Amino acid sequence: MNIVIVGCGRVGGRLGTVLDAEGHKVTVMDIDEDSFRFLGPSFRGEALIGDGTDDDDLVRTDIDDTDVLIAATEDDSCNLLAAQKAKVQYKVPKVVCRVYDPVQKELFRDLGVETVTPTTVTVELLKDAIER
Amino acid sequence: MYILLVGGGTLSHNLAKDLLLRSHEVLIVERDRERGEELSRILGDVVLRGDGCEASVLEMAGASRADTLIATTREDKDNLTACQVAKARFRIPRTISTINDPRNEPLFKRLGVDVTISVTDIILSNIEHRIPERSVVPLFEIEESGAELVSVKIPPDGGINGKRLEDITLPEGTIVTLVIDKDGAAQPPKPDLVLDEADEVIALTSSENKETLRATLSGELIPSSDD
Repeated sequence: MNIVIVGCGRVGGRLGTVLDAEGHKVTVMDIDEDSFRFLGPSFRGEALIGDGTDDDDLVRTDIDDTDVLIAATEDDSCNLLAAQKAKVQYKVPKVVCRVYDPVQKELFRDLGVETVTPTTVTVELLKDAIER
Repeated sequence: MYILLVGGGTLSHNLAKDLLLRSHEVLIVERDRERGEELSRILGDVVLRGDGCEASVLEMAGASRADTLIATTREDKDNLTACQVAKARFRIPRTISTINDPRNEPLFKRLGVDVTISVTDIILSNIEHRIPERSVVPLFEIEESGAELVSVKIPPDGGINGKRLEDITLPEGTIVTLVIDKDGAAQPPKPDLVLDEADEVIALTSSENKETLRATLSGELIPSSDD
């Protein structure tokens, strides 16, 4: 699959490396070149400096030919705009969005954008660990 | 009305001043502490410090009883989030957003922002209006029909000067609605009206034919006279 990851922090970088190793065509985009250090040494995909909410930059990722876009920056608004743009404007079939504010999660379910909320997930895991 | 302003920039500051004068209830939500304090000093107790994209902050701002939310930050992404949270979570009836990257405008409309104001487009069209030469200035876009009202200024030494309106072949579907002569007088577009340097032609045309219209009225396309 052609996969675009917006935001190459710890999460985006690691995810990109894993998906690349699984044989997908991965493009990672971040506004900060430094962040590409989070990509593993085995990464063979493409790392582009750019803003995942900017049309010119999205087009550089071959967005029209993308199967999955993952918005994984540390900024909710940035993820939400990148994700909705991918879904509504570029008709990317599967869009997943990292959202920190749990309130947003319900909000974007209706738009067909899947969200993952690190806060909620971490809370659940910690709770499980205590109760076990 | 109760109006929430997200972002405390210059635009928001002046907007708040004006809205307060008109006896509206106003609250500015500003992320930056220093800027927030500065605004409070000038405007009084109408500033809440916080991120207007966050539901918890909007809740504190009393968003559920707000009539309108206006987002004017420098970041389109923040303006969109604030409007979407306002709409979905707090059912604010009217959301208004300024747009910095004009290409975002159609998307914002589709995503439910009630009113979008493309700041860049407005400034650009103002600048173009003041440049005397060859551009087509979009005045008004008729929503989704592809039709546009534009203004074209007749340049000096173009091949069109001294020609009558009826002798000029305009692109298909283009209608001249008004001509403003160089003295600023509005002239109805009668067929025998003679166009001259510095006249401003206001025409209804389509987005595709805009450029042809400009070329025609600038004398770059020599209109055929045999039909």
